[in-house]
Amino acid sequence: MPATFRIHPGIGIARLGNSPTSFYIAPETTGAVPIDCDTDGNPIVVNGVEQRVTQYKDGNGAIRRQAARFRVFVYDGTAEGRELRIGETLQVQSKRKGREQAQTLTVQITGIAWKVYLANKKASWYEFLTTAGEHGYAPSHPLRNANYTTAADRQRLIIDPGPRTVQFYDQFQGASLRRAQFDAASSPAPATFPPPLQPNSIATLGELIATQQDETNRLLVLGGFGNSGSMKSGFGNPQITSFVNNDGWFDDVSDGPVTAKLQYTVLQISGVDAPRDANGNLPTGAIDVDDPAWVIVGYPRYAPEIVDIVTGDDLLFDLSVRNFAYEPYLYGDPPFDGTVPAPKPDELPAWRSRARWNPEYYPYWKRDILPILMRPYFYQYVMDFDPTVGGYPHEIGPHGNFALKNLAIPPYEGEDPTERAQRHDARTFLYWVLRKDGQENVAQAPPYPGKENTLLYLMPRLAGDNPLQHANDGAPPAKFYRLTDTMLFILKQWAEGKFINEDREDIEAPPLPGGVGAALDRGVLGAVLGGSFCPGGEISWIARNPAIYAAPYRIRHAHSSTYQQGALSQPGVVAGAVPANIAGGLQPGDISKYDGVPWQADFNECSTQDIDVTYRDWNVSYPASTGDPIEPVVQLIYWWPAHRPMMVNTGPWSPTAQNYAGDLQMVTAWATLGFITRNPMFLPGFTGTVDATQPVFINTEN
Amino acid sequence: MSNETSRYRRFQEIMTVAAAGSSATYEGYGTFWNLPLPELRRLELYGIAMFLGKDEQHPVSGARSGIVRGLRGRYPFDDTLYPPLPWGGKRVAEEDIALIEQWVDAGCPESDDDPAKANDAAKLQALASGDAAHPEHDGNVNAFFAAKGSIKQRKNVNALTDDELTRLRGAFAWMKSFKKWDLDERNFYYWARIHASQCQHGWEEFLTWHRAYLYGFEMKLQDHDPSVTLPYWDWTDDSADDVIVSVQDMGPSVPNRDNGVIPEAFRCWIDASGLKNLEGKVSTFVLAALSSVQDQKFNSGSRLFAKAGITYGKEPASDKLIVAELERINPLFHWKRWPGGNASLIFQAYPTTNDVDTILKIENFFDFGSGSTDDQFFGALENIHNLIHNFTGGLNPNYTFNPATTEAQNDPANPDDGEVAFGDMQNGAFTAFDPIFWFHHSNVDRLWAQWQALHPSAHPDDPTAVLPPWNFTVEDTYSTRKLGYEYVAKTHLFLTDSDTAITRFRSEAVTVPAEVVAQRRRAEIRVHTMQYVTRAGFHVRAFLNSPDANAETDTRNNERYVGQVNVLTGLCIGGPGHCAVPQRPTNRFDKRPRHHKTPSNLRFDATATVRALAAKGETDFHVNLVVLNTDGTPADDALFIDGVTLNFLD
Repeated sequence: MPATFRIHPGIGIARLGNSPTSFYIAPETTGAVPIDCDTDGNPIVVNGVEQRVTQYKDGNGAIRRQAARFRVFVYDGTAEGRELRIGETLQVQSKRKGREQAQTLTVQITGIAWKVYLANKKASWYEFLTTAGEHGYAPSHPLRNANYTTAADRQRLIIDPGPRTVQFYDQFQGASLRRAQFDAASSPAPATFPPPLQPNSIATLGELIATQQDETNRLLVLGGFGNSGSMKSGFGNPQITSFVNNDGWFDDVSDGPVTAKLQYTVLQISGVDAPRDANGNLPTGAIDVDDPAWVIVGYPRYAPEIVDIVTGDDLLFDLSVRNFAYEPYLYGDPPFDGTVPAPKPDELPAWRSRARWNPEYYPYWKRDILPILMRPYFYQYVMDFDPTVGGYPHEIGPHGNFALKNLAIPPYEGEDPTERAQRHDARTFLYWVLRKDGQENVAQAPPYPGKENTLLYLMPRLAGDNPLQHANDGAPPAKFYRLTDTMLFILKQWAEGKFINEDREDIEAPPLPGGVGAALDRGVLGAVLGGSFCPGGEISWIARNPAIYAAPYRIRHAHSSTYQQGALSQPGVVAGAVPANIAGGLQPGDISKYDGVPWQADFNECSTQDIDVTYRDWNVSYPASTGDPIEPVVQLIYWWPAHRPMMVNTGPWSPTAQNYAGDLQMVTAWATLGFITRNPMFLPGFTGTVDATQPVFINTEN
Repeated sequence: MSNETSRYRRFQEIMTVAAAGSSATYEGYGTFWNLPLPELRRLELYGIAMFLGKDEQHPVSGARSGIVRGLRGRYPFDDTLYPPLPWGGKRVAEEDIALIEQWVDAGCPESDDDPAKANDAAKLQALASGDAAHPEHDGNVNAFFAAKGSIKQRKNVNALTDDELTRLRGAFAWMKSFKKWDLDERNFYYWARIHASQCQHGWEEFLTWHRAYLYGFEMKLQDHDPSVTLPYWDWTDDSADDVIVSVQDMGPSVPNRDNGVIPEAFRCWIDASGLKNLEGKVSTFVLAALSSVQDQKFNSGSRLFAKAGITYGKEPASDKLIVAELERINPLFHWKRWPGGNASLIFQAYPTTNDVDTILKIENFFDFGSGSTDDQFFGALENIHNLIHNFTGGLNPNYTFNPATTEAQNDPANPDDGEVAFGDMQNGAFTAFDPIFWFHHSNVDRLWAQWQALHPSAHPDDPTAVLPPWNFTVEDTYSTRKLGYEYVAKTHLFLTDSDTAITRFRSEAVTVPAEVVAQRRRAEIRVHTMQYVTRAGFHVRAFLNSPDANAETDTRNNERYVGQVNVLTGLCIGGPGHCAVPQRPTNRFDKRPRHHKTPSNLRFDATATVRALAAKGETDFHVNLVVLNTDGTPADDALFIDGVTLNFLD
């Protein structure tokens, strides 16, 4: 059957760094250490195994950038797919315009031309005001840099270097197209870059590198160098006046589409040998991949192995499960007896109205449950749960709340009834304290039967999407964070005893759907912050809008014919500009524009948050109107310490203060911060004496 | 008959070989293919019916069974949810899977020459001609009725088979397992609380409200096990008992409390599993004391403590563990139940059959079942019912009145804690927390049903009033049959082959003790699901204990002759298959009227015959049927049925 082609991962993640030449490759499974490579982007391979990064900074102490790696997979018969090899022979469907019927071509693949278009639209976009805008912006919603009013002026607020194409080897141009810079000089058309900035100007958004590994061609995308600055000059500048909206400021974060054209030589047309030209050459051609990808540039992942409570993978998995029938036996169209066909894309709206959780879904302990349960435990290395008495509420040892030995055992025939009750209680308790849908503004868990006198906080005890406001301030508050619906469902099944322990059944959990390519989609996003979004880390709340996706883990591209360099879309309220249009697909810069500018300000302040929990009905309160002399009750809550570490080895991780001065300091201080990595004492191969009381993760390279 | 290995054994061998070296625990069942066959047939793993499933009325087919799908690697064992079976072992050849599929389709029989399955024509013919006796069915009678679309039986709690009692306790334990979830309608305590907040007493809705209440509760039990019904506690069974049992329990000194007798099903005992569970949790002294009364049954928990020599209250934590264990071992036992009382007041609480006959003769609904809303008073039945409540709950021998507190009762929100003055059955708020409540009320309901049969047109004043918290009206409850049950003390079922015409039927003899005959009000022979036949009319005669009964057997002056049912049939007016047994509706939107060829049932009142034979000292009874043409010759193509029962009704 004719092959179809997809780029994996569907969304790749590059990361900023200030090292001019040194970089590494993004990790491809959740919680993994990134992959080390040379300055040409070739992974360091020993005995067939790609080696992991050991140093996150180069010889000069500068942070190495992280490259997003993309590959083309071919799907020709099985749902599993495999990576495309250069030189292999395949059948493809010719898509030449004007033909009534497609022809089946037998082709030999000769190369891949990768095309990427990065942009940064932050300065031209709306201001970030908590969740206002998630479902469209009010007409009065302020723009950033509102003093620039014409479409032409505002177009210049977009950092728009235009698209770049690279190719490992081209039959006409050889190896000359392997690298491309997103700078002004190499732009195909006039590029827009900001004027000189203080403290750091922006000359590029990054670089592309085409690589070859074994018989495959791959793409690496590098982001910016972490340069941020303000174009305002004069007394008092540069100056930070907000954690997210700073007029005059730019940073070199970006995002954009990644497409690929597969080049081939035609061997046969509909089974007949292809005609050769006068020189005896076979015809050549090229075909676009069916499912292109997207790259997003984020800031450094300072605690690469410490997994967020909710990752980008968790977010996209939940969204894909509930909107795209990604795992229809987990959430789908009843009855769950294997007889209901998977919905076609145009059937999804009706499917969404019918789909529900499968009450007989038994999640797997090691595949589905344990990874979630382990996350709060490792948070102890990036925050301090209880600064006054030093409690460890997530202890995994035999007497802890997370006594893994107990939590791993599902009910079984012949189980001691007392033990069964104890295990049931241990699971039920953990599920009980999880914050559920609708409890986003509730701090405490309801009394747990049998522990009525214990004050229990709902978990995760982390800041929500909007802890900054009361209802009367605008956007609805969501003071605290909760797990995704899918995570909660899986843990509910587990709490009820409906789960499988792989070891006890002598099986490996079946892989999640989609094969190796889909595993890359998910694994890469395991290092991305999945919330809360105020505005977030690499992505913001736009990431949970199903409308921006064409398929699970795949952003819907605006067709390349609908936009061009120098005319990227702007807020619809700007007269004369091309209006942003989610339904038409996303353009370069349409993911990162929802984040704060410069990123360092939000990064610095998204550490801890004072959350006002004065009233149970705090969502509406006007105490000043009656002169009510309330003493606000405030709780100090962390944001997402795996992404923005707070306390490491009992000391503060960053020297920056939690204020605008600290934000400004972070504009340069980010490059001096340490990476929180596994204590060498606990790494395989350590030969000295292991001191089990030492922390598993320590701050290094600072 | 066959010397070849049965399919069942082959299945076990195939699994054993394929799973060699695997450490899979299969939810703790381990090598589940070696489970006892009845358990294997019902086995579910990870929510999947592996063989026939738990619904005996709708067994899973071989191809759809978990075992066959799992071995074939079909959904959900196709790596969508689970890997193929056997886990950690080798895949099984399709030829072997096909054999297992056939075996499941055949109902997972133990032997391939099972008479009910293997179509042994000679044996069937011997049964159909009366030369061989039909054995008593050792399976569940209600499962048979459910499969045949008949109503189910609520039995006398003293007449339950071990299997029925085990299933009943399992269903109660299941409902009790939801205790922590107050609002879960599967929760036993959820139902108990309905009584606390909604019960109707002292007026005409007493009987109707409780009938609706029991119906809803019984449906919940059946959600767990469709063969379970709520048995009744016929108080008259115990009226002959006296203080002797109590003396045995308690030693020579019988106080005027905690001294009464209740049926064995509700009593408490400690067994080996309980002792094992308590090991290391209670003192060795207490454990030894408990083992001294192992497997002895007691009318109250405090009597068990007394007999074992454990002072209740000395070690509260230990006591609590023991009580929990007793209530686990018998989910029908309740700690806060101290039956008995002062002899003159309450001890002779149990009515005699004469007492019951007296109230059944009452002609007026209100005098029988409590007054109308405009003239409220306790009717005769409710009055007896109240006495049993007080007697069963009794007074707590461990309670000491504390003048410092006026609280005689514990916290209504938490009926498990604290020492109470009297048993829960004495307390309208908590009475339904004692499982015996349900059996007590099943008996109230039964007596009303009997009274209804005698007084079919006597009803409450307000038939359209709604019975909260359900959407039943008073008149919706008038027919127990519409609610899917009837009261039968004890049933003996003999299955027949529905495809073979019976000329003569003979059952194996069943032993019916003399006191059962004496206590039961009626005996009945029932013939189940007789198919319509296209031939001339015929006649079925029933006898008891007449192994040689045939077409010539004299019916006059024959004390063993029970009676004759006359069947009108006829020729078929339609095409082939028109008069075949109609399919039962499988579609819930099938609103067509009952098919006029629906199989019918035959009934013979055998009360007089049973009594006459019992009077002669006969205690073993068997049923004989003879099928005749109108000319008196044997009819060998007339009677096609699914089974015969001999029933004793209170």
